Amino acid sequence: MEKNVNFFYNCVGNYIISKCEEWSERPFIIDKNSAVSYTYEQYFDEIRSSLYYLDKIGLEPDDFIVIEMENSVSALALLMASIVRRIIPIIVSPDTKLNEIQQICRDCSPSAIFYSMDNEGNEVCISDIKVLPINHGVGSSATEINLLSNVNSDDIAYIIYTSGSTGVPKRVNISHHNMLVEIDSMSEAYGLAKDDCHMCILPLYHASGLYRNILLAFHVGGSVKLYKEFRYDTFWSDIQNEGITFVQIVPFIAKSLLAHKEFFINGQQNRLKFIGSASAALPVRLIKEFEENFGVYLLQGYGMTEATCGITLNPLNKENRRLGSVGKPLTVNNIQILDQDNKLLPSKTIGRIVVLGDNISNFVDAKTGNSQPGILETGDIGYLDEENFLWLSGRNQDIIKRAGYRISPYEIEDAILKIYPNLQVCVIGVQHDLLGQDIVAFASREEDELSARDIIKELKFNLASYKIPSEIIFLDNIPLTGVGKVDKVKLKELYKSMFS
Amino acid sequence: MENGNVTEKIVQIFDDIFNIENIKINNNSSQDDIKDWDSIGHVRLMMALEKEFNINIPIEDAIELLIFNDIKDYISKKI
Repeated sequence: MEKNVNFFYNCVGNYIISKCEEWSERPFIIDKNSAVSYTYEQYFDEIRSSLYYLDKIGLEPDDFIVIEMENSVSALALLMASIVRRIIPIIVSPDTKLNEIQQICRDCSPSAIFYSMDNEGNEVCISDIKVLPINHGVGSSATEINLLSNVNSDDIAYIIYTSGSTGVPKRVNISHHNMLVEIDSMSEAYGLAKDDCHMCILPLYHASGLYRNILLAFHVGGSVKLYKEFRYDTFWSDIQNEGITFVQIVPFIAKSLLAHKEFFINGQQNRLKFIGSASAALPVRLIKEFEENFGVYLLQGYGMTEATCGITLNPLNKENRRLGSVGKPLTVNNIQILDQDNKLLPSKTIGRIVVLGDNISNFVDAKTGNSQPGILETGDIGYLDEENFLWLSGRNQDIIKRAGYRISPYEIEDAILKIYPNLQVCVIGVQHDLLGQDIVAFASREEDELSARDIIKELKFNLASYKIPSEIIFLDNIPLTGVGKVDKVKLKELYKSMFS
Repeated sequence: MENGNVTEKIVQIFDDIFNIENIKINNNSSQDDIKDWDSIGHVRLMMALEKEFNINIPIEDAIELLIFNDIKDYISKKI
């Protein structure tokens, strides 16, 4: 792989060690849940005690572990400690269900699963795999940490699963090189410095929260207020009281804040430079409404897990942004707009968005089993204008974006079919004022006694709650296209006619 | 509709939407007691109540309905 960006570190482990030492006395993170604050040095002690924990369990370099990545300093330290030890963490949501973890176990054969403290007493149990708490209470900071020399920058730093287009979650291997160039490139684009104070309200198992509000601060010696989750009622008072200068949100949060304007303190003096949003394109109307109401620049970008995190960003100076565009490529990325025959299209011509760069992970396409390092077929369509701003026009695929979560309809269809193999099922995303999109499942009426309630009750045990459909609609027949595929367009029209 | 019926139906909706197998729903049950009752869960809960009782719950009311008893009183008044 050609390296476009020079960097000093051969691996993320050495980068973490060096940064903790470089910023040692500076405040790094406050865990708002426990109200405990850490300087970089104290945080490094947390990493040391996590290393001791990993060693005590008997884990070794190249072992895989699963971490239910809750928003806590313990989870963050365990993640970084495993990378320092060259153990490969698989980052999952604490809401991941047993069958989803079992699938990951079949794929990666982890040696241990570290469960979130939220799941204590209800932790997953898989034979032959150690199941241990994230919060270990091991207080040893005496563990020796040596800089690593035997790491190849293309080795895997961590693994994350993202919604695939085939029903099987897509495994994304993020290499040390991917991580280092991405942090470097994003830091340059966001222009944040050590005096900046981040508010992290997005889940750490999403690249957006981990990179934009943790690693961007970590890179430059900045500080972070780590929250367990977003709360609309305290969001603005926290921004003011904590001296926040940057927070990354998702469209769902923007809409929720607009729905609860009463919590915004008119005339508040805050240090906010901008608020970032990147997981789905925001409608221009919403951006304008947000900025008019809250008087802050809503900085729109674009990113994907397969590109480690960010791909584009609008200029930091609001005067130079293009409202409605997701911005220009980061320095690490090149974007190509291609037609169906892979021919490069001229500016302002809509086509497939393909991203190239060193931050593109070496993921394996579940359908073909192929991987193409450094090239990402995003599944989105759009165009570049004459100044290289990217404009999104829609999606080639059917991924549902519900409240900031990217959900594959195929995964939900598979879960239903596993329980009711005789049904015909089709899951679609429909517009929803608050959630952005909501999930609706259509099922063929095969058994008279079967109700929507029955299906949803079963699904609760097999899917994370954010993937459960709000509606299940029974039809005598699922409409098909001429070639025998489910006619999703017709289903969307049908849904519209039923509920408009 | 009788009060008992309303309560029963709301409990049924909670059971549909949230994992409450090991939780006993009572008048004081709130988001603190039910893990799945997060922001998406709340939107789904409000939609299910609207559908079940054929009512409209404006957003300014929805944000106040965070305790089982408040939901029960609100629905009883609306139907």
